[in-house]
Amino acid sequence: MKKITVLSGKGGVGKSSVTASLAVLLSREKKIVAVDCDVDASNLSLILGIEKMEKETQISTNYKSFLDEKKCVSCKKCLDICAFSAIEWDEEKNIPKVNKFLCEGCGTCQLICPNSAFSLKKVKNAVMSEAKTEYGFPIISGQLKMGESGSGKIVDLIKEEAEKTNAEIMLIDSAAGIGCPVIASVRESDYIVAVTEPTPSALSDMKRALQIVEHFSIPYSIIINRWDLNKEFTKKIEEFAQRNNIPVIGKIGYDKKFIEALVNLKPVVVYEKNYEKLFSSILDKIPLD
Amino acid sequence: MKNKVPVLVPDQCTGCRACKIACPVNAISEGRQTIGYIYESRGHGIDLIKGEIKPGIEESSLVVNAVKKYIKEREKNYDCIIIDTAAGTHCPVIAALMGVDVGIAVTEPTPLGNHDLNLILRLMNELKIKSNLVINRCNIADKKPIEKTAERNHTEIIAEIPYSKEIQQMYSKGMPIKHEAIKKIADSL
Repeated sequence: MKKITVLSGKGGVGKSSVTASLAVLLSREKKIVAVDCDVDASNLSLILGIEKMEKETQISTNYKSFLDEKKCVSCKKCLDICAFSAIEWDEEKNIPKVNKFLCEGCGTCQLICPNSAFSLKKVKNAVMSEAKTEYGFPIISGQLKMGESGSGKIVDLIKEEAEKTNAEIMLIDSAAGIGCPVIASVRESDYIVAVTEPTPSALSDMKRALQIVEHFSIPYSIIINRWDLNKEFTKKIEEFAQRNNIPVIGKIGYDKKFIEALVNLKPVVVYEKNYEKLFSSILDKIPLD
Repeated sequence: MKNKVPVLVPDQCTGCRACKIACPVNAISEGRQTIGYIYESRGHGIDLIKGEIKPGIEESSLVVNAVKKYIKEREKNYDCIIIDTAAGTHCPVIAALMGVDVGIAVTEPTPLGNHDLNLILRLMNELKIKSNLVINRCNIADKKPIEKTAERNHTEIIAEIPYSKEIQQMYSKGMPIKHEAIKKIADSL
């Protein structure tokens, strides 16, 4: 199964909109599965017209530390050792208090406690869900629960699930940024498409995201969205691409139709058929075999 | 496998020290590694303190915590500290939100904006942080779904910024946006 990941570094540049349109066109030629790896705020399914996902599974990729107050000897060793400031001291009771939002589940407090007062328990930190889009291909998505962590491991898990579908192509929508969910999305991909826009922050964020891609030695290309909002800056992006031998496989102009498509929960190639040509030409430049 | 010793992958190490404590023969010692940078600069009469993770390092909340510690040490120099969080709801966002007086959510009137807004407002609710709301690009689509989400989460809409090509162009030139809505937000603080 060929894995293609769409990333951007900066949020809000149109990554998921581009992914959705590519998915619809790609599914006309190949058997695909779309995977939403933006597990913090997953919404590729929304753009693909799915308001309610089916087949929800609770998943657990994380541990959290729990204290047995009776066993605590108030030595404060846990307070000093926690690297994530997740242990606070309850002066009244003279015992530690685990801040569940900051606990990483590393187990260091459990190891250092002389009286085994801590235990690690698995927490259900995410929900994985699946649905069939009206365009015929399945989408698998993960959503982190409120205040939980471990998004990288959730991405690994939903990619594993997508692997079972026997599709020819897995199209992955990554999260913004360059943290663990993005690294997990990029890992083991065959090709990366980076979406950017002509703003200094979008270019700088994309460059940082591409350093992750370079680390894994994965071939990649760039799409410039809303390129005509600042033609001068677009030229700068193109010069950057040329200097580094990165193909620019598409330039999409600013068009209110994109927002209308979004509001109508349709990929832009479905909402406005005229865009099929542009997105097909982008798709032609992505190596699929 | 070949040498029958564990291999340390520095980029994945979060510095939790569990391996050091667990090892019965003290084979692991603790060191420090650079996981990111803090930058300081000045412009438009404000100090900018910026945290940046080194690409490849996974645990971005450690960098956020380091920046916040850096700010904490300089807190007395300022009347107001504005923190710009990462997108999403995971650890770097939670770390940024910890201990703030008010969280300002910025959204746009699209189904995606509304979906993610719901998540961030619920997160602030869980963290017991008072939230306010700014609607950006307020004129691109119907605002009602956003207003409903705000109401459901007991969040006040403090300002609305319209979409305009001038704002887009100013932003893309790296200039600060001048609009009365921005003043409204500042006044709310």
